Amino acid sequence: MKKVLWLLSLSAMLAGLGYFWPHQAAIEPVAETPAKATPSDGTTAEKKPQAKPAHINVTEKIPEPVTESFKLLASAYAAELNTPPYSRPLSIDDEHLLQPNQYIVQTVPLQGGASAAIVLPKYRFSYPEAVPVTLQVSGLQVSDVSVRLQHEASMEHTESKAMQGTPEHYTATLDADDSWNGSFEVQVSFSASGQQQVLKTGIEYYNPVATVTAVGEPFGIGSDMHIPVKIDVKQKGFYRLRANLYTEQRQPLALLTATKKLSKGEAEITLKAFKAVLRQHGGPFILSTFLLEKRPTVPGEQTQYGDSEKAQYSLDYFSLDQLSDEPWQPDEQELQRLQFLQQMATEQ
Amino acid sequence: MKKSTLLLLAGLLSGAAQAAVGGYPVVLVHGFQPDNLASRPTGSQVTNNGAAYWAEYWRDRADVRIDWPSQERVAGKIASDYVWPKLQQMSRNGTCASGCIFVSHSTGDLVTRYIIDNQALWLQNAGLQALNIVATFDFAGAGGGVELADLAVNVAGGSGLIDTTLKLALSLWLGQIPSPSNIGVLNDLRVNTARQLAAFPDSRVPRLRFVGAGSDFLGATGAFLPGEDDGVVASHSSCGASSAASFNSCSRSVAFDGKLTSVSGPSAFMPYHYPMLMSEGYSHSDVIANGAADEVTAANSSSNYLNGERLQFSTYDETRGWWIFSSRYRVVRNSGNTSMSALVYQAAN
Repeated sequence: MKKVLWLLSLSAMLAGLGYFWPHQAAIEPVAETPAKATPSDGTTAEKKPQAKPAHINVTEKIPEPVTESFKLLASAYAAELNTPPYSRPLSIDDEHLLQPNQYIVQTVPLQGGASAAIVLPKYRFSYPEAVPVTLQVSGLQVSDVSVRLQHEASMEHTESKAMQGTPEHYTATLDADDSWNGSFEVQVSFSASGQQQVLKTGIEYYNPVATVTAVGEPFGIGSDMHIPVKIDVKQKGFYRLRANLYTEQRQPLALLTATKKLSKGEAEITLKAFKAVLRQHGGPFILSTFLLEKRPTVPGEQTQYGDSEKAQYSLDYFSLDQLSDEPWQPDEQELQRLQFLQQMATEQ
Repeated sequence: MKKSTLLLLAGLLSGAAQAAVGGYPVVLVHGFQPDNLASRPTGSQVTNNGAAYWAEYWRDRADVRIDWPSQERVAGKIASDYVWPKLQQMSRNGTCASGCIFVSHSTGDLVTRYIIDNQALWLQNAGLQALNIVATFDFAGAGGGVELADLAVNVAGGSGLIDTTLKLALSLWLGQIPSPSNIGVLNDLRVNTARQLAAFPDSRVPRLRFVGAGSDFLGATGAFLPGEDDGVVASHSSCGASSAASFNSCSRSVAFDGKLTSVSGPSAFMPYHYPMLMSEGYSHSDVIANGAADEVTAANSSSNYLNGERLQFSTYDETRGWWIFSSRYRVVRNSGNTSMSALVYQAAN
């Protein structure tokens, strides 16, 4: 909150300062130290270090119509529509798209300035992965540290496992059980100062319903590089596959998305990279960061997840000459959205 | 074509619509209601709570409300028992056939994202037409999670060693500390869980963010939230930032109070999330209220304002022997006497 004092009259300020400001801006001087405004003798402040010059704080308010903000929004949204939704350009700042399975540590403040946090390598695990759990403690001596998993829906839980380590760093690894499926709570118990405390955090653990087994040679159709992805489907359903396309040097290029209804058995989903998102790169590429979801087809059904045999697949050189330079045409609903935003940007 | 003509045409096309934003019917999705955890409302109680939630400004400017009880989970009963009947009703009535605007507050942002990700598939599977959602207005959106929810879940699990100030802050927010078996949607609001729920819908619906940095709790909760916050939701979440970090603004060149300055803000946002307006003085609840809490600033920047030389400067006035330190603030016109919600509504109409 900006608390300011109004010490000099606006007219005096305007007389002295008016020539500094653009005409359309309102000038609002808001604070000033007591000023001994002696006439200048022609020397600069730097030449007279012993005489501390007075200073004036001036606040200028620039009023804008609310429509200005919508104009910028409409431009930004229009730029999004230059590429298709199945092939979104990626930048190194798109943290949650580059690390879609990131676990964000949440620290819990404890008495006396101490704190503790559960640390996990990721949020979603896939059978038969083990779950390594760390408890980080600061400012408190703890004992009897143990961890267990509790299924959020059924409330059934695993047996507790003791955590070992240094006074500030306790770890344990929970070996997987093929019955684990769904949302779980990681519960870490410890004792300190004669009291027991349980810290909790949520994770997901899935027995994969489908697995990416191979990535085929890319081929060009129109303005898209098509990448066929082989999938072993254990449960039929409506699937969405996402993967990030990188350069060989792991510079992010695009997030690719495709959805398809798949039957049980061997199946294929084709990801497409629009020419513009390749940014003149003709490969080699890396396809990685797979996210394979079996979508809920009715409300109340939970999303299920698949996995990938390999963390990443390499794609060889691809001649961009095969692809046309046709601009992407947004669909009718997207144009309607853009029109709405442009309408909001219109001054009344 | 003039805006008024466009609005008239859109209004005619939308048929039975009674209220509109930019000519489109409005659908309201409210946020977390702490007292639900103890009272566990059902049926008409949920509807009454929803009506009261939006009473100050938006209720009478909306066509449909999706009301849900906070003791349930988003992907569970909230979706099946409360969202789904309304989606079917809207599809059958053609409410969104020509387009509609969703207005959400707080956790309603997360519920809306789940709807955007799933509604088309669900409705088409049921032989119904998918909704055409033109845009969402998200006030104090909690789609990026709420750190207080993580802390509340931990305190509910036994609070022996928990910091006393934290327990007090949570009591101010929740009214009382919930039991471990009665946490409901707080589970979905935990930062990791929220950011994983329907994280990136395919549909490119623009999510317009309206954000405050005041507090309903005299700042007591802010100590447990990263960066600036509105007393409940940290700015990474309400701005729609791509990372759950500590930010002091939704912009890197405009502060919450409108000061044009270099400030810690997100470098990227969740797809199709656009911070629009923000204000230092608006709390979590103020943003959907019917009163001006402070002046409002635009949360995005044109290239003019990205030029550092324009932001701040100091000059020595040799004539008077004064150093002049200048600060510039950008404010939305009339925001000193118009609520944030009204500014948005009036811009659209």
